[in-house]
Amino acid sequence: MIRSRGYWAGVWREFRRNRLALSGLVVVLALFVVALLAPLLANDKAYIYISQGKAYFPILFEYPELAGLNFREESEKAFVIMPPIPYTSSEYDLDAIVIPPSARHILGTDEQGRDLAARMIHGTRVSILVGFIAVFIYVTLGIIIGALAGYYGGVVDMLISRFIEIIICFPTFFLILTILALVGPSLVNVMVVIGITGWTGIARIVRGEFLKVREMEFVQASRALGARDRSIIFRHMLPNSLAPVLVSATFGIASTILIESSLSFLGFGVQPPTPSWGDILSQSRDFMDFAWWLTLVPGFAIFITITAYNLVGEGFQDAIDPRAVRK
Amino acid sequence: MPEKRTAIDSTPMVEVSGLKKYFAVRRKGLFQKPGQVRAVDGVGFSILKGHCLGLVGESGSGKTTVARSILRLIEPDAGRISVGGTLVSKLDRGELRRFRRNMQIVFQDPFGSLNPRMTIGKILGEPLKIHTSLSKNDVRERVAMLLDMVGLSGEHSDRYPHEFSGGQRQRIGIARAIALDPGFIILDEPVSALDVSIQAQILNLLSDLRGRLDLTYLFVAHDLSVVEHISDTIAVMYLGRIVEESPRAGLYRKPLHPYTQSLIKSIPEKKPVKHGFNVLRGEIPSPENPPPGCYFHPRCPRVMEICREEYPAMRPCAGARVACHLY
Repeated sequence: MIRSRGYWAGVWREFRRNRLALSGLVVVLALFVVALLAPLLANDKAYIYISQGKAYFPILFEYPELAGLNFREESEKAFVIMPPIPYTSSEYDLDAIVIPPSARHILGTDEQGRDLAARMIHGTRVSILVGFIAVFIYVTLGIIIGALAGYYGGVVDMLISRFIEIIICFPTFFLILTILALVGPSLVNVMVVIGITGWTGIARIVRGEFLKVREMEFVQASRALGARDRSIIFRHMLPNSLAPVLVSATFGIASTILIESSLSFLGFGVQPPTPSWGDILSQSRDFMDFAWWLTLVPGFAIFITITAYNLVGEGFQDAIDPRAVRK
Repeated sequence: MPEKRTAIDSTPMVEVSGLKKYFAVRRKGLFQKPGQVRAVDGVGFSILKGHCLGLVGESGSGKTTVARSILRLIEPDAGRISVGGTLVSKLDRGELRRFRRNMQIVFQDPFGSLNPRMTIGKILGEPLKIHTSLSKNDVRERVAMLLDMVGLSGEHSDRYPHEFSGGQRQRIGIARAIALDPGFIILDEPVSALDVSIQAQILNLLSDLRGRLDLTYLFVAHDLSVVEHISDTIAVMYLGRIVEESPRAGLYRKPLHPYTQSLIKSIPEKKPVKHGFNVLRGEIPSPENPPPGCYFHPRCPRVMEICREEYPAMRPCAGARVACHLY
């Protein structure tokens, strides 16, 4: 028997053919790995520390007898394997303030002697966390609100559509700034505020898709069979409306990361000492004339991340486009 | 062709009277009243158990609206609909949902009528899930049996709709309609989207199933040639009203209404003959603004003075019913 291919298998086959989108996906996945493994990639605790015939794994377990020990300085006396970046994101190296990239600090340090590489690695977590959670919040909101408007139509649709039009009249970024100024800046607040202000685009997409799909014969057929509204919405309409939503969400992650960086740059985002790319960039302003690494590294990271998500989004869009010929 | 069935029940399976559906039309200017399209304007007919009524009309005549109003996929504005002795027009939401297993529909578009994200097994399993409490195994068996009945095989049930041809998909649509053993099936232009060679196969399948499952059909079509062999009675619609209803033999031999006459003459024949008039002049008028008097008079070759003033009543004539001032 011939193996059947579902819809998403076809989309993936199409996506794979696009080299640029695929490399974007690789970057995105790499960022995930970095975010996930951040404490293992940049830490001042050793992976393995062997002293006096005893092996310790300080990065995994607490050892009271090793408290206060600087593992970086132990390598002459004992056998030590350190993480690739042997610093945490909030550790002050007072002998090395604003030094350029060197063997000791491969991406240099900032004005408090903190290792830039360690801060960048831990900052990845903030970017991804904000990107995904904020987008998840607004995609969920957008689907619910858009589905209500598109499925029930009439007055419900009219009220929701007008409400959306009112919301999009506000410049989103300043709306976010205003709300954050009221509720106070923090990681959770940034995610929630971006989430509750960003749903309008998704709602409009879902509404449009639902209006289109509602009239399709397979939906009519399901209604003629006596299916309940809930089953029609979730089994028939939503799966056939989701692809453009996911494309939009991919682009949404890129712009959310940018918004978070901008907020942190302005001081309305994630608060120190939690490292965030925007915050690092912000602090570099005072040393921009000589400490080029403090500007270039976070700027480049933001640029690469946004580009990667956008490439994935575009590849995704091409892959689901029904006008594109499937071979 | 099932010419004579052994015992023809003379009780009507389907009775429709005074069916009306008006659609509101968006007003064109600020000071104009919103318009109204009388898509269906007082349609009535009955179908005997085991019979097939062919409902024929040009696009815009309201035949599809009639079909969907009977199933209440569109809510009719007025009219009495009875199927198998149950007053469908009076059922409330829940009752209607449960009653739907007794009346089904086969759609025109074989590509749009099957959910592209569901396998054939799931599509055919849906009606069984809604109305029965069959076990997973029983559903699978029943699906295989249904596929077998429409000339496909059980191993097709793991595939997706896009893996089938138009004719095969139409067979799947038919299998879905007969899944719950309904007494009455509406065929909404079931072969219009198919190649001529496939059309005959599907028509044969439909005739065959009618005999085997004791089905009653309402066959909607836009030309008289398709319904000729399957129908017992034929009703011709023009601008939301039935203009002639006649037993098959009579209609094709001696059509009464000038509109029916021109429809019959427009059926392509093997040996073309010269007709006095054959081609209908002009287009079907806009149902938003029908002509005064008989709606057909601007295109009628036998128009009289009275036709311009008064809409003709439906009158019995030579074993048929016709709405024309000539009779």
